[in-house]
Amino acid sequence: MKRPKRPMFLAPSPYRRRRLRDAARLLPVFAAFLLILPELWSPPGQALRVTSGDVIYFFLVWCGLVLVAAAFAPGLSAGESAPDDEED
Amino acid sequence: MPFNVLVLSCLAYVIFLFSVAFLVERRARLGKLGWLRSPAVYTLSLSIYCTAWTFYGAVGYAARSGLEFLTIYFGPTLVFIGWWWVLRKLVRIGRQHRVTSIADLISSRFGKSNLLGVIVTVMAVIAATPYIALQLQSVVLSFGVFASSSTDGFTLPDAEQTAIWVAGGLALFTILFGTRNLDAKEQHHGVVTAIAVEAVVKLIALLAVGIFVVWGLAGGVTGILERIDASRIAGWEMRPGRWTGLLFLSGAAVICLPRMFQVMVVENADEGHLARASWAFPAYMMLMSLFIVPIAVIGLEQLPAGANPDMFVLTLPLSEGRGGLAMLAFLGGFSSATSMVIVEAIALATMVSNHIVVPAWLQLRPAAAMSADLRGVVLNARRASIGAVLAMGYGYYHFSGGSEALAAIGLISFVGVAQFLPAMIGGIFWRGATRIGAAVGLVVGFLVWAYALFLPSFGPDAVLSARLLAEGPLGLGWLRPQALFGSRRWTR
Repeated sequence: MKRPKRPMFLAPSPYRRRRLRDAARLLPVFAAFLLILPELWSPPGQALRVTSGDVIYFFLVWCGLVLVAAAFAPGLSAGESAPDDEED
Repeated sequence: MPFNVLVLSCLAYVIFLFSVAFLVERRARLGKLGWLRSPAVYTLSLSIYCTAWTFYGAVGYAARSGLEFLTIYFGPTLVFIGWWWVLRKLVRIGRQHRVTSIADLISSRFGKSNLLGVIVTVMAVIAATPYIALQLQSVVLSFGVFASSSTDGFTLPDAEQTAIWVAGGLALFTILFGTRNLDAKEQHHGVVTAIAVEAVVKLIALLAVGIFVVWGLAGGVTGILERIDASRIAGWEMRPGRWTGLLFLSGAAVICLPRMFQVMVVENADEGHLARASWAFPAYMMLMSLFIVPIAVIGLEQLPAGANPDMFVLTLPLSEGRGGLAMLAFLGGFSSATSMVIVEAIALATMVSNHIVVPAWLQLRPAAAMSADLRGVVLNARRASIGAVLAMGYGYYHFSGGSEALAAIGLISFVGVAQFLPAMIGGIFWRGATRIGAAVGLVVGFLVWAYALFLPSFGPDAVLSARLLAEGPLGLGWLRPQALFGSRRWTR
């Protein structure tokens, strides 16, 4: 199947917008990895976890995700109406 | 605290909310909404995701299963920070096609199939009953806490009766709130603003209790961290299957819950608001969860062994003689329960009237389509549905005995609505999706859910016999409802 052609080289601002969208798509993937990661820390059934450490880890990750999402949001919504490079 | 004061403060609070909603409706009619349609109000209205389950149940969940309660908020966090994938399309489609409910969305993605609309409506109504029962149960429990602790001795009339009064009051309130007029877009500015106010109240209440516990009882951050490691949840076991499964389930539920769909898509005033909510709503959930573990830990440590962990948010301040703080917590819990019930009932009533009552009415009286104004029929159908939804919630509370942990009840509802996800995602992203396929998927999912989760939740010998639960139908062990296809390992 032929894909519709998209320009390979773009002006700086649409280029940045595209990269920002890619980053926004990847963010939940990284987030899911970080939230599932603690499953690997101790084998199930062995109660060797330090609960306070888990609490700190999860809330730090949570804060980090909120901050990154907040950094992405304005750029994403500003570029949304831009006609140049609609849709994946 | 005397019973009358408690009831009076609830009533005063409800009247306050009602006047907020009323004033906003009036401004909306004059076209002067202004900041009331801001991203902040939108984000706060999304917080009806945090119901009494969060307010009371999360502490109980943490006391029973450690940090597993966090998955319920991590799933929506993933969905919201990943809004560019799904939510953006959902809101855009919702606005372009003037979608009025999740049933409307699924039916319109498959050629306005009313069959699908009816299936989704019926499933949504049944799946909501445990969730509404959960809210009733939490309000009844919280009344009970004040009853048992009061020295001036009021005895609670009776849990059953309290539940009936609460359900009736909420039904009346929802009818007054949600069916005053008809809006083609099914938007309720007044209700949304009232919910935003309730969101602030419950956040402040939970933070106040948390700050009191951490700095008043546990001696600051280092003190609480030490006590966490000395407590019963110190050696909590993270079960990977459950952790990942719940993460996915709560992410699915936040898109599929009828009330979330209502506030997220139907009440959305501007697509740009979603961008703000993508980080602000996770931040809200983070603040709501921040003090759950400390409250659970200190509650386990200081309260007698038999105390219900679901009520620690109330019993901790009360046991320390902080009546005012307990009252604030009570209002916070009341807010979380009422806002959920109001929006859920409105969303379900919209679906019932649009997909079941009106089509049936037009079938019975074809003449009505030509001439008469259907307004009266629709409004009355909605009022009746709101009453019916609450009556079913009460019925579930009554038959399940009102003794289960709050979180366990909520999860049953989550799984029920998660059955919408494949049909919805398929309808949005897959051109090859067909109406029959969607209908079969929904019905099979619904039947498995009912057999494996919903019906067993009434307890042995209530709907399904104890023998069936223990041995499976005709003695086929691999068909046991609670261990379907040998899934025993991952349950509980």
